[in-house]
Amino acid sequence: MIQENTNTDKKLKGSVLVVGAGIAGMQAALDTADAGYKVYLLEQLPSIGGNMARLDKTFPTNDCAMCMISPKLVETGRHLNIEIISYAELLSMEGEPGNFQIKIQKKARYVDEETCNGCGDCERECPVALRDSFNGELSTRPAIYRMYPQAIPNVFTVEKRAFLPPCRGTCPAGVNAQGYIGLISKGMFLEALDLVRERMPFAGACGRICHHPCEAKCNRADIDAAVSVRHLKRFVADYERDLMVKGESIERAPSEKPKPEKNSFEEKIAVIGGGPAGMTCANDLVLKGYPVTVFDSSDKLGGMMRWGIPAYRLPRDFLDHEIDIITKQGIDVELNKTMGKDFTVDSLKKDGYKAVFVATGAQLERRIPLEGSETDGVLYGIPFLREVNEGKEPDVGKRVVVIGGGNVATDVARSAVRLVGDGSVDLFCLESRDEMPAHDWEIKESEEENVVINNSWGPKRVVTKDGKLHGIEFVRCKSVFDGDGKFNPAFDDSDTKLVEADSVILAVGQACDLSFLEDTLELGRGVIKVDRLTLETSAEGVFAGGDNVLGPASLVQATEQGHRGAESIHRYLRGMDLTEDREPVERPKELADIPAHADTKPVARKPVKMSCPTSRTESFEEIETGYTEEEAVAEASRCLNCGACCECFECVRVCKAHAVNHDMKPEEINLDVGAVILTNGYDPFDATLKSEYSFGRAENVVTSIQFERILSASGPYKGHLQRPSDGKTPRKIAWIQCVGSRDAAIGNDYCSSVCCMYATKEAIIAKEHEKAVEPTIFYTDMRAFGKGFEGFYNRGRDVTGIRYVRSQVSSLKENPENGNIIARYVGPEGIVEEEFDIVVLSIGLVSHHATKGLASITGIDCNRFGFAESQPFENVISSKPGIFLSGAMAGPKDIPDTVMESSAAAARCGEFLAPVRGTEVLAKEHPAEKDIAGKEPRIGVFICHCGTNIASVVDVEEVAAYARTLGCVVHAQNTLYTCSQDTQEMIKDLIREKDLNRVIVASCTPRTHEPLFKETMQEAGLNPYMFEMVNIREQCSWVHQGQSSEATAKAKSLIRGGVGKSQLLEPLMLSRVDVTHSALVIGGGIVGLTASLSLARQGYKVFLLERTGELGGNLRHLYKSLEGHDWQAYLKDAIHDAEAHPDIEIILNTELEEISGFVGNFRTVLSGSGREIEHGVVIVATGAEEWQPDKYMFGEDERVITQRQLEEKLEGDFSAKKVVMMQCAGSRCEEREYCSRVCCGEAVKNALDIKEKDPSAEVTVLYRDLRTYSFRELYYRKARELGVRFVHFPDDRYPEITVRDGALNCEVYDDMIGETLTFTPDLMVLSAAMVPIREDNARLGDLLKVPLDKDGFFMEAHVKLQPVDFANAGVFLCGLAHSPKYTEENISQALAAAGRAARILSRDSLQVGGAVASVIEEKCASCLTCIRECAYNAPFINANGKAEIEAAKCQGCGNCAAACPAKAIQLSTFTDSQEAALFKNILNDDSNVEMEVVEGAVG
Amino acid sequence: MKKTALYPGCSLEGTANAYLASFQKAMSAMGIEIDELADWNCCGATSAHAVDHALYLSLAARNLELAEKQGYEEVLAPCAACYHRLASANAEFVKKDDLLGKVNSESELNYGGSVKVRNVLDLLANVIGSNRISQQVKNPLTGLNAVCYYGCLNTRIPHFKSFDDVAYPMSMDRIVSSLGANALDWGYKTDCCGASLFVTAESTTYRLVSKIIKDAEARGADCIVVACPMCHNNLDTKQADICREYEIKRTIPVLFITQLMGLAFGIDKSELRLADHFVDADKVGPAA
Repeated sequence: MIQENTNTDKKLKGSVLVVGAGIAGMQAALDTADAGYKVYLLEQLPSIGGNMARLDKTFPTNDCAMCMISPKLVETGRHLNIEIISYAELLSMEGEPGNFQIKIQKKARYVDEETCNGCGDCERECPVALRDSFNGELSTRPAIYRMYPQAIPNVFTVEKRAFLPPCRGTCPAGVNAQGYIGLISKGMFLEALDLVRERMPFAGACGRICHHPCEAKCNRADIDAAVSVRHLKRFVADYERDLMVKGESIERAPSEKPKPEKNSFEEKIAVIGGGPAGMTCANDLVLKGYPVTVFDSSDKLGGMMRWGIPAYRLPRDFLDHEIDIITKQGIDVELNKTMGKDFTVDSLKKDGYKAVFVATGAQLERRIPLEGSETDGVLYGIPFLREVNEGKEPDVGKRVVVIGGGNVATDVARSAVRLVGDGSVDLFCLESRDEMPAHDWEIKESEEENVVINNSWGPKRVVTKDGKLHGIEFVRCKSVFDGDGKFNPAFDDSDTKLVEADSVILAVGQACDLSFLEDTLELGRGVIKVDRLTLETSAEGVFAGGDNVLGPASLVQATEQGHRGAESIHRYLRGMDLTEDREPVERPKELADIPAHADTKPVARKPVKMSCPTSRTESFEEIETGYTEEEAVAEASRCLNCGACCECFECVRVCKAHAVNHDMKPEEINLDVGAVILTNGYDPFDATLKSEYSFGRAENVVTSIQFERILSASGPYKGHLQRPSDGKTPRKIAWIQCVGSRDAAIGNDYCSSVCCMYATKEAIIAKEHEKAVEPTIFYTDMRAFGKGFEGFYNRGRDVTGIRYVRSQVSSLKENPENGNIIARYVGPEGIVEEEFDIVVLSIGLVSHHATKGLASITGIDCNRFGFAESQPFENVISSKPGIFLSGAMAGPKDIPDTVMESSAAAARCGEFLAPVRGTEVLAKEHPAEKDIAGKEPRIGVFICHCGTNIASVVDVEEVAAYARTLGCVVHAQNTLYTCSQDTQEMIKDLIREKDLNRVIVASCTPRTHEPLFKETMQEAGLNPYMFEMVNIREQCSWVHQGQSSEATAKAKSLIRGGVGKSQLLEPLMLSRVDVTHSALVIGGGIVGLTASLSLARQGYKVFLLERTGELGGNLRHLYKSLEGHDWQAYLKDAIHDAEAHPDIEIILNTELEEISGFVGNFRTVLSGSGREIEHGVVIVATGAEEWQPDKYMFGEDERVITQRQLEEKLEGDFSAKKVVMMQCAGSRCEEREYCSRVCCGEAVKNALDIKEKDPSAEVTVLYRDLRTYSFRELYYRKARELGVRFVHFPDDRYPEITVRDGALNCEVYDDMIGETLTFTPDLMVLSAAMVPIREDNARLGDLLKVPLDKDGFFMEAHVKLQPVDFANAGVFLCGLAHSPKYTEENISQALAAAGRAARILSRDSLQVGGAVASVIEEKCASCLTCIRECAYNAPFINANGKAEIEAAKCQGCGNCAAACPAKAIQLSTFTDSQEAALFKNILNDDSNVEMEVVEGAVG
Repeated sequence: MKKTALYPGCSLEGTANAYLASFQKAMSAMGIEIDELADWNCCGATSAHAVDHALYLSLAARNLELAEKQGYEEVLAPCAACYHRLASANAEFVKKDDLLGKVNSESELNYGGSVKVRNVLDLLANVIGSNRISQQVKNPLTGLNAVCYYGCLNTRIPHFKSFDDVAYPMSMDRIVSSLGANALDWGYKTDCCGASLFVTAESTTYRLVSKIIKDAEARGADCIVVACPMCHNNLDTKQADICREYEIKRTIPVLFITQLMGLAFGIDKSELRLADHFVDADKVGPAA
């Protein structure tokens, strides 16, 4: 059952892959690395920390989760032998146990991990707002983000999506709409305009006349209405022009983007045609550095923008303005030059042009055969518009008929309206209204301007009277398209009508005039034939694009052609491949959908304002008005950011470290490892699946994880308790338990184990935030089963005043009047509807979404809920050798159990890879330390900008100049990021060059960065304790924003203090103490046996002490587990293995007599023999026992027995027909506040056993709360299905057990039905409490100097994160001596203790000293204060009768130094004189005064 | 689309005649023809299934057998009670071995168990689809705020996988959106309207209906849309009384989903039988 390593060949690898870096993964990584293995820690998210990092507090101590996890993050992050591979996924695993080949894909972070300093400058510039999943989507975050401020690795990540946002993906010109809209939303209008111009040089024109296919695809349309993309583009163009008109600056912030030199190439290029295609091409080429000449046959540039679009849509002055901007970049313009007449392709080549782009457009009208069309007064649309746009006012009479249903026709009609005065304009077209090719808005605006639209009429003939135009006859059009969808109009000749008109304008299409080409270029279907990808024509060096290639097309399409042509010409002239990596003309089909994290609340689209239809038709003035700045920002803020990152590249611009790289690609990593620990964790249940609770619809229904964030100081509301809908402080808050747990209907019929406690915790904390809060918890069974949980629950109920209601809420509804939530449930008096301000759903834990994939890659089994399956009795061993499990990956569990399992998995790994321990780990070597004794202090000061974090507030240059004036400072300078790798090198060089013997860094917090700088000191040969850090970020720039001069003065003071202290620093030496590589395990039950075996298998000598004459402890009385596995066989194997192991010495009938020494070097005297043994660690595994009840007729009637006795009976002849079990016999009462944890499972186990033996037997379980947590719930359910009856009784009304007429009588009040039930069982089984062996524990506690809790169990160092450690280093705890637990949990804990112990035993020596406290004996009064204060038992009274501090035990906390009444204790690097110098110098604000140097400064 | 028979049931021929009329109009507007099942009998709702389970199974089996014999693959039951009975019986036949054989032999039937039962919402949302519906819209109901009331039976059938979320269905909401109206989010979609207690315990029904109307009113609904004759009856007939008794500010018209479709499709109001309702539904349409 225990995995032994059979892979004995030399291929065994001394490294371990840990998958998942939450608390489970971090602990497993730390313990494994500390035990001598190289660890790769894989995390799929950008940073480690997992779910625990999102919690506010933790139960049952209400410690701050972040305060606890943060040191773990830092420790993991800087561990020499842990390599974090974050934002990465496991791709494959090959090989065999002991030697796996791993492939990992590291996703593109778009930020270089080595270079990024986590300064956050980028985050402030990013215009994108995505809902922050870390904050439960209650707030937003940018697309470039860090999950949370303390994240490790402390670097940023850009979130991109697989497909382009629809706006950008649909735009033929590829304009980055999401990008410029994002910039507009941040008020960065000019930057937005620059981004538009990268793909659209005519931003203002496009912003006016584009048919905006982007808006048609905008995902926002599915919510309310598309973002007004076109109009926003117009806004930025107008914004710049307005500034220019007013003569204000249009200077942009400096961009990092490289600008090519002008005229860097000499090949001349000719562009024929000054329309959008030609001008775009010319623009691109000029920007690339080519000399370009544009030829146009007209007297002005602009092409169809000028000659085709009426001025009321595109004012001429604006067009001139934009053309001017383009040509001013250095384009030569040749106007009134017509190709074929004034020049030819050949003549251009002769004139030295090396490439030609032909973009002559579609400038001809299409004609149709129509009787009488030659009559005067019959005009054509294109020449008519040209005439109008040239400023002429053609006389069209009073009655105008326009023929055509397209956009040209509406332009013609609307222009005509402006010419006819009070006359009429009628538009006739073949198509029905729905079929008209003109855009809807064109039709609508035409009608507003009194154009009468006549659908389904075809022109039959022009009617003349006296040779002059009289009118036109129409015939009814029955259908325009035939069955195949082809244009093939059918007419009803019987239905005709004559319309009189003064002029008839035919606007039925456009064509290209290519007559000028003669035979130079090959044609096809009325256009120039080109390669669609490259726009190459049949002639060498000649490219063509725009309408003359596409046929009549749009502005955006023409622009695309211009870009494409320019790119081809550049490649052609540079001899590059014309086709490589080119995108086809067709835009991508797959586009991004609405991102899951988008804010989808409806917000009305800002309307586009138009001038009044009656007044506007009086002239050709522009009819549309632009947005104001406020409107533009508001409209831009509606963008859903479908692409996540919008690629505006502002982050690239502002990153001073040049860490952002949008071209980053995913990379593959290959590793060889010996073993794998899977710690993938869990996902919170998706509460939308319980639709009756309105989650996702009613804002004030939140999940428990959201509520954690609401409570958290770093959460969306900065720790202010408020509800999401209106920010009001909630008074009535309800929690609903078992949302997504114990729910067979949704397939989650297990218990999530942690929700009862976290709900209680959240209720307590909420009440601490706001006294007025009235918390209510709706629950099924209150499962407070862990160490200290019952007391916590009692405190919640009795002290905080939480109202616990034993009822399942059936529905939650929002009250539309006030946003309150109405909960419906069954109370004692029937159905109740109660209103709450907020309802918190206590969502369960479900298997992590990645677990399934991991399981299939690694080949491990999962249960039907998707959690990893562990081996019987062995929670940390998977179904596959060499792969270990820990934490919620294998089932829901709390943090202590998770941490315990991680240490256990580390122990199992250590057993598995024992032969290769230490083979792949690194040890840091430093150069010899420089002797600085007797030397004057020479201080180097480095003042950090921290990007802009410090420099934007504090005048860092001034501070550096000031630092140079301070005494002993021989060097002071500014650094952009002091923590960056190159700066570290620079500091090392300066230490050597300037012979520095002290270094001060004024930057951020020592918590994260001090170790790095100390390391640098050592690398340069300086004692690390000669380093001093001054925090001018958290303590200065961050808290004094907007107070630049004061902050600068404060920074100076802080540095002055640092310099003062620095002078008094002394080098501190670390000494080494050898480690005895053996362990003492106290207790020979299964826990002691397990710990002993694990340590022995890891290669260490073990003394196993058992006070009785027999191994096996409590387990000798257990026969099988709830799951049905055989405990006795397991125990037999363990005893056999221990007895057979050469490194385990079993010492029976013996107790510990005396113990001395400290971690690594203990010396123990054994009872009886008086034998002395030496060992490096101690493991306490002394167990507990079953309570022998002194009531409930126990001992008075032999039919009243305990569960343990029942189990014994079930092994023999068992005949009882009626069995009643009573839970909580001796647990959860005044004498023993705690829950004994295992009794509910044991009762269910035995009940099932009885039912299996005899299905007709009646089994009844009387209980207060049935605590079958985790998958044990399934057995509880099975018992109910098999007919075991469960009767709930109130906490304060225990059943009464009596004997009447010789029969056992049990009366119980069933509070579900409100009646008293009477049973007359054959057997009354008491689920008796598990109790500590108090006196023995007290004695051992005294000897080991370790504490007991109030219940008499041993007290670990920290309930949450150090569940098997004592504060006393080197002493560990496991099994029932810690608290009641199931045997398989005890086994894990035993392994955990072995895993933790191995961290010490694996070392050759321990470092002692450094920043520790020491006693000045002369001043010591032997008052014992220090001994009482120390949590680590470091002080003792020495042979001189004075206090002495054991350096090996001292943690440097300073408690003793602060408490010593005689001031006899000094803490190194925080001595009184050093601290005095620090403060004196801070307070001495006359900078010219010589630094005060306290006497005793060493040189 | 599979071959489907219409099972109108008694209510569509009586109190909910407007449902039948509007259903037929809306379907033919989309060019969909659904013939009535010939010779159908009572579905067994209200009393039969409650007093004699075997009788109810026989009644259902006969209807389904007819459909099978007449060559239909599916039966469409617009009435939620009919739907519930037919679909439940079908589900029971699948779940319990030999049950169908027993029913067949006792009632001299020969139902093979092949017929699928749908209700109108399932048909509209999952077979016809929003696209086809929206293509037919002539008068988009822009600005009309509707709440969709599914009632208790349409999504809750034991042992039968619901065509939509049980507690918070969306199919009707999607149809209403495709007509151009706003389908409002509200919490009473599947709450009980009192059903037949209307006859025996009027005050209970009043209380239950009042909550539904009150919430719809507070959310600014212009109409309540239903797909069940009983829901319609309970919400509509005594609404004026209920609003008075429970001090609800205004009455809210209650329309069958097919009537709302008819309005959007441009079908004449008289053909949709809007005047049949007690709460005046004449003004329901696009917001001015």
